[in-house]
Order: sequence, then structure tokens, then C-alpha cells
Amino acid sequence: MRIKHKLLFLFMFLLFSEIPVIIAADHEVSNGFCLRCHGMKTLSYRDSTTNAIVSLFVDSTKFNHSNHADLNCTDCHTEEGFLQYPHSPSVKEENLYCTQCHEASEFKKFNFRQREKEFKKSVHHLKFGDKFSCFSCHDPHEFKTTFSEAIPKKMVAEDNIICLSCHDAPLQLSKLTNEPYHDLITAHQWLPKAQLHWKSVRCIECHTPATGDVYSHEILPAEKALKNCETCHTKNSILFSKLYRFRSKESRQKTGFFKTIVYNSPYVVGMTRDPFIDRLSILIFLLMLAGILAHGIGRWLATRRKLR
Amino acid sequence: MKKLYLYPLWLRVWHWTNATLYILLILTGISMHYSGSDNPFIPFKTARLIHNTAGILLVFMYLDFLINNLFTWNGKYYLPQFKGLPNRLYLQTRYYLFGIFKGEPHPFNPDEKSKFNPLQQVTYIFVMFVFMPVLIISGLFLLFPEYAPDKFLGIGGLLPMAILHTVVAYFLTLFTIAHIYLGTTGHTPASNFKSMIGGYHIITHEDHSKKEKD
Ligand code: HEC
Ligand code: HEC
Ligand code: HEC
Ligand code: HEC
Ligand code: HEC
Ligand code: HEC
Ligand code: HEC
Repeated sequence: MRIKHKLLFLFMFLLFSEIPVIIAADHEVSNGFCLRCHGMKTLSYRDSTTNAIVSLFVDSTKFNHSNHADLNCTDCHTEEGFLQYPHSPSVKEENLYCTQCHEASEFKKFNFRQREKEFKKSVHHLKFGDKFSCFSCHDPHEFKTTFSEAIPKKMVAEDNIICLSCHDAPLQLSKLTNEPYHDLITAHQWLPKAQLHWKSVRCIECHTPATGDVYSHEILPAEKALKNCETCHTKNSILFSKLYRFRSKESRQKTGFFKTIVYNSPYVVGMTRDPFIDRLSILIFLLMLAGILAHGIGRWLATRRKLR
Repeated sequence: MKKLYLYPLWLRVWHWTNATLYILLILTGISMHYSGSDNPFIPFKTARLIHNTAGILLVFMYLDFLINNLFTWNGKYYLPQFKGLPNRLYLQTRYYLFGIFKGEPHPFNPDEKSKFNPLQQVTYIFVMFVFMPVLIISGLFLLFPEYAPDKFLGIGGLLPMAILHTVVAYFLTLFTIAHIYLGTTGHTPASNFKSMIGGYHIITHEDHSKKEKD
């Protein structure tokens, strides 16, 4: 890898460094222009202060499927300096935030302000400050919301991959912290079938306040995480206010057999109950107990009569 | 008074272990089904642990039942005599519904050839050879959901297993309640329970008079 990088930089160096060129002037720049270099998987450099390798690769297929697909690179990277190579030193000043561009009212439904407020209270921000940003979890070139999708399984998979990309990858974590790696399975040993749970619930179901909304960004310290099984495994499961919030109101109230089939959601002990079967079973039990009681009294009266 | 050794030791141990497991499973099962912080019957975590442990033990008890009945004479009691069965079922039902109040004698009394009355026999066959296997198989799928079929009848794999498990468990709960109650219909309310502890069925005069009349 390193040799390859060195060769690449050497090549770049020879090609451009001596002859600063204005590659594009003031006319629109196509994404293809930037991707000529940034579309290369190997384009990266070693940060001189942290000594970590920083990738400069932008995956064009993922970009074209992201929420930002309609944008030009230069819509966000507005610095003139990007238009030339080497990029002029002024580009280092560039400092973009999700919220900075997303003040406009058309983005209101995504609650950027609230997400930022919650994020500021999260363990990650409190521990790492500026070293942890929205972009630690959301690559602006790949980010795609799951907002409109009401398919829980898919949402779970897409959300959890964000957390797992660090917490299931010791290498990624070591970039941020020197603490020894705790593997997730051991940390969740108290939870039976942890892997199964992760396919059906999101990490943030347990790691954000129970009162938070479906996309709460307030990641709590581990000791404050949800450990109580009954919060989910019950008729009034929090899953209905969080993960399954997008189901229609009517279907949320009835959580029976048929609804579960229709919404293709998993079977959850204690939560998935068919009201019809429940009522029928209770009725039959009561009838049986009444029958036994009547029979018993009958026998008792009969023996008394016989004794007399 | 004559004593008949009907219930060998292994069977009595099996019976009472099974009974304990059934009670545990019913209580923890209901508790998990209706789990929630508003009605904390047994904490979910505890209930699950007890239910799983008792469930696994019940599987072994079932295997014990199969093996013992295959290799001892006890198995023969489960072989149904189809001839005249409807009529014998009718007689037994009639006894429970009417005869018992008039002090009539039991229409069928246990002896070495047939330990169960016809109603018992049919119920036990259903319980042990239909309900128990379904209960065990669906329960094992719930215990190891990773092996449950992804789709079963076009529905997510675990759901039909869970419904099946619940419904069969309800039937077995009904059976358990009925079984305990009918246990009190012996010579005295406690005599059947005593037999199942001591192993001997006590043949009373009533039984003999019935035999002589036949
Ligand atoms: C000829 C190849 C080439 C082209 C074309 C190119 N870049 Fe770069 N870009 C690089 C290299 C090499 C670096 C890393 C060295 C540096 O910072 O100058 C880089 C760095 C960057 C950085 C990271 C700056 C930092 O330090 O974090 C951004 C952002 C960037 N480029 C955006 C763009 C955009 C937007 C375009 C299109 C307008 C573009 N680049 C076109 C080669 C190129
Ligand atoms: C929605 C706005 C947006 C668009 C469109 C966009 N970028 Fe970026 N880009 C960002 C932000 C924000 C960052 C800073 C991320 C960070 O700090 O980690 C960034 C960082 C970069 C970097 C630095 C390395 C990295 O990945 O963090 C490169 C290189 C880059 N962009 C290239 C491009 C190219 C090439 C395109 C066009 C295909 C493009 N960007 C389109 C917002 C955008
Ligand atoms: C530099 C400005 C900029 C930054 C930084 C930026 N965005 Fe955007 N984003 C935009 C613009 C402009 C659009 C509108 C695109 C369109 O209309 O096609 C957009 C669109 C979106 C949309 C889709 C909105 C819709 O109505 O469908 C989402 C979601 C989104 N951005 C999320 C994010 C997230 C999350 C981040 C941070 C990781 C981020 N953006 C960073 C400029 C930015
Ligand atoms: C610790 C990781 C993490 C950080 C840091 C983070 N997010 Fe998120 N964010 C998530 C996850 C997980 C989701 C849910 C996944 C999805 O919708 O794709 C999400 C979803 C979102 C959504 C989509 C919500 C919707 O309505 O569809 C927005 C908008 C968003 N984040 C904005 C931000 C902003 C702004 C920041 C920085 C202040 C930020 N995020 C920081 C993990 C993070
Ligand atoms: C960019 C990498 C990264 C991502 C993505 C990430 N985390 Fe973290 N997280 C960390 C690091 C590093 C720590 C600090 C670990 C330490 O110091 O032991 C941490 C700490 C935590 C802690 C606190 C542990 C404690 O000891 O109190 C929790 C809980 C947590 N993360 C959950 C999540 C969840 C949930 C997500 C997904 C929404 C997520 N993380 C996404 C890197 C990440
Ligand atoms: C059912 C609730 C639940 C789910 C789902 C869950 N967690 Fe946890 N997690 C907890 C609890 C509770 C703790 C604290 C355990 C303890 O104190 O022993 C914890 C601990 C952690 C820790 C701290 C580990 C340590 O020892 O430092 C991290 C990191 C973490 N979880 C990440 C995740 C990630 C990533 C996911 C999603 C893949 C996830 N969790 C899913 C409840 C959950
Ligand atoms: C955040 C919500 C949540 C919490 C908290 C939670 N569970 Fe679950 N659990 C689920 C969901 C959803 C499933 C369904 C998984 C599937 O089958 O796809 C599940 C499945 C299970 C299963 C497998 C069920 C089966 O049919 O085999 C067991 C066992 C289980 N949970 C036990 C527990 C225990 C014990 C606790 C507490 C220590 C707990 N869960 C806490 C949501 C939760």
C-alpha cells in the first residue's frame, strides 16, 4: 500500500507541482472533473500531525445514490482553490457542517437543529469534542436518509452499520481512543441472542433516552443504556414510539397476528400478541374453571345427600 | 382390600417431575406472554431463564417417556382398542356428567390389562403423541430462532412457530387443569394422588361388586 501511495504522489508531484495550472476557470465544473482524481480508491495522504492515513476517495456510485446526488462537488466545496491543482492552501480553511447548509425551511422535517443539540449531549461529543463530528457517522458523499422507508428491517440494518463500522472495528476505534477494545458481544453478554437483536432493533433504541424520538442523536454513556427487557418485550413496547413509528396510527394500536404479517415485522415475545387469540383463550379458561367449580359443588352436594 | 402395583418408580418420578415442569412452564409462559412493567408477575429475564431450563428438561422427560414405554410393559396401555371405543367413551363421559352425582360406580376400573379409562387413554394419546411433539418442535425453534425457516407458509418463520407454541400450550394447560381436577374423582378425593405417590392402586369393595356383576 505505502509503496503504491508513494509512487502515486511521486507521479502527481512530477505531473503538477512544478507547473501550477488553473484547470478550470469560472465556468461550471463537472463532477467528473474532480472525480478524475478523487474517484481513485488509493488517493490518500498521511496526516502529518496524527500520522493517520486520510482517504480522499469519493465513491461516485454511492454519491449518485446519496441525498446529495443532484449537487455538484463545487456546490459544497465552494473554495476557488479546488479548481486548481495543487489545491491552493486556502482550501484548508474550508470547514463545512451539516447544519450550516441545512438551515433552510425545506429541510425542517429532518430536524437538523435538534439533531445537533442532541449530538452535543452525546458521549461521543463529550469525550472527543471536535474530533468527532456529524461526518464521523455520516459521509456527506454517501449519506442517504431512511426517513421515508417504513420497512423496519432495512432501517435497522442501515442504522446499525453506522455504529458497527467503528464499534465492531478495533482499527477504526484505535484512531480515536487508546482505551483497550471491548468487543461488543462481551459488552452485551447479558442480552440473550445479541446478534439476533441487532438484526431487529437499532443500537440507538437502547443507547438513546427512551423518551427520545425515532432518530435521537443523544448517545448516552453505556451505564445509562436500556437494559430492561420489558421495555420492548411488552404490549406497549417502546419500539412503537421509536423503530415502528412510521407505521400508520391504526396499525400501531392493533399489534396482532395479521398486522405482524402485513408489516413483516419480527415476532417479539410479549409484544406480538393477537388480541383475538388472547380473548378467546381467557374466555375458554374461565368457562373451564366455571365448569369445574359447578361439577365440584355438584359432587359435594351429592355426597352430602348420600350421607344423610 | 387389595393393592395393585400399577405405577412403577420410574413412572412416578417421571410423572411428578413432569408435573412440576408443567406448572413452571405454564406460569413463566403466561408471565412472558403478558409481560410488562405494569403487571410484573415474574421479571421477563427470570421467566425466560426458568422457561428455557424447564423446557429443555421437558424434552429430556419426553425422551425418557418414549424410551421407557418402548422397553417396559407400560407402553401397552397406550395402544388403543378401537373396537367399541365410541361406546366406551360415551359410558365414561356419561359417568362424569351424570353418574358421578348419583354415586354410581366407575364404569372402568384400572387393572393390569388396562390402566386408563377410555377417555383418559384417548386424551393421553393426543397429549403425548400429538401435542407434545408440536410443543417441543415449536419450542426448540423459539429457543434457536436462527434455525427457524425464514419463511413458513409465506410468513416470517418465527411467528407461526410462536402462535403454534402458544395455542398448543393453552390446550395443555387446559389438560393440566382438567387432569388435576379429575384426579380428585377417585375413591376419595385424595386416593388417586396417594396411588401416584405410593405406586399402588387400592381396589375397594365398590370395584369388586362391579366386577362380580359383570
Ligand atoms: C488532479 C487531481 C485532482 C483534482 C482534479 C482535484 N483534486 Fe482535490 N485533491 C487532490 C489531491 C492530491 C489532494 C490532497 C493534497 C492536497 O490537499 O492538496 C486533494 C485534496 C482535496 C480535498 C481535501 C482537502 C483537505 O485537506 O482536507 C478536497 C475537499 C478536494 N481535494 C476537493 C476537490 C474538488 C471539489 C475538486 C473538483 C473541483 C478536486 N478536489 C479536484 C487531487 C485533485
Ligand atoms: C453536500 C455537500 C458536498 C458535496 C456535494 C460534496 N462534498 Fe466533499 N465534502 C463535504 C464535506 C462536508 C466534507 C468534509 C467532511 C469531513 O470533514 O470529514 C467533504 C470532504 C471532502 C473531501 C475530503 C476527504 C473526505 O472524504 O472527507 C474530498 C476529497 C471531497 N469532499 C471531495 C468531493 C468530491 C470529489 C465531490 C463531488 C463528487 C464532493 N466532495 C461533493 C461536502 C460535500
Ligand atoms: C455544503 C452544504 C451542505 C452540507 C455540508 C450538507 N448538505 Fe445536505 N444538502 C445540501 C443541499 C444544497 C441539498 C439539496 C439537494 C437537492 O435539492 O437535491 C441537500 C440535501 C440533503 C438532504 C435531502 C433533503 C431532501 O429534501 O430530500 C439530506 C437528508 C441531507 N442533505 C443531509 C445532510 C447531512 C446529514 C449532512 C451532514 C453529514 C449534510 N446534508 C451536509 C447541502 C449540504
Ligand atoms: C454517532 C453517530 C452519529 C453522529 C455523530 C451523527 N449522526 Fe445523524 N444519524 C445517525 C444514525 C445512526 C442515523 C439513522 C440512520 C439513517 O437515517 O440513515 C442518523 C440519521 C440522521 C439524519 C436523518 C434523520 C431522518 O429524519 O431521516 C439526520 C438529518 C442526521 N442524522 C443529522 C445529523 C447531524 C446534523 C449530525 C451532527 C450534528 C449527526 N447526524 C451526527 C448517527 C449519527
Ligand atoms: C467514528 C467511530 C464511531 C462511531 C461511528 C460510533 N462510535 Fe460510539 N464510540 C466511539 C469511540 C472511540 C468511543 C469511546 C470508547 C472508549 O473510550 O472506550 C465510543 C463510545 C461509545 C459509547 C460509550 C461507551 C462507554 O464506555 O460509556 C456508546 C454507548 C457508543 N459509543 C455507542 C455508539 C452508537 C450507538 C453508535 C451508532 C449510532 C456509535 N457509538 C457510533 C466511536 C464511534
Ligand atoms: C437491548 C439494548 C441494547 C442494544 C440493542 C444495544 N446495546 Fe449496547 N449496551 C447496552 C447496555 C445496557 C450496555 C451497558 C452494559 C453494561 O453496563 O454491562 C451496552 C454497552 C455498550 C457499549 C459499551 C461497551 C463497553 O464495555 O465499553 C457499546 C460501545 C455499545 N453498547 C454499543 C452498541 C452498539 C454498536 C449496538 C448496535 C449494534 C448496541 N450497543 C446495541 C444495551 C444495548
Ligand atoms: C430494544 C428492544 C429490546 C430489548 C430491550 C430486549 N429485546 Fe429481546 N427482542 C427484541 C426484538 C425486536 C426481538 C425479535 C428478534 C427477531 O426475532 O427478529 C427480540 C427477541 C428476543 C429473543 C428471541 C425470541 C425468540 O423467539 O426466540 C429473546 C430470547 C429475547 N429477545 C430476550 C430478551 C431479554 C432476556 C432481554 C432483556 C435482557 C431483551 N430481550 C431485551 C427487542 C428487545
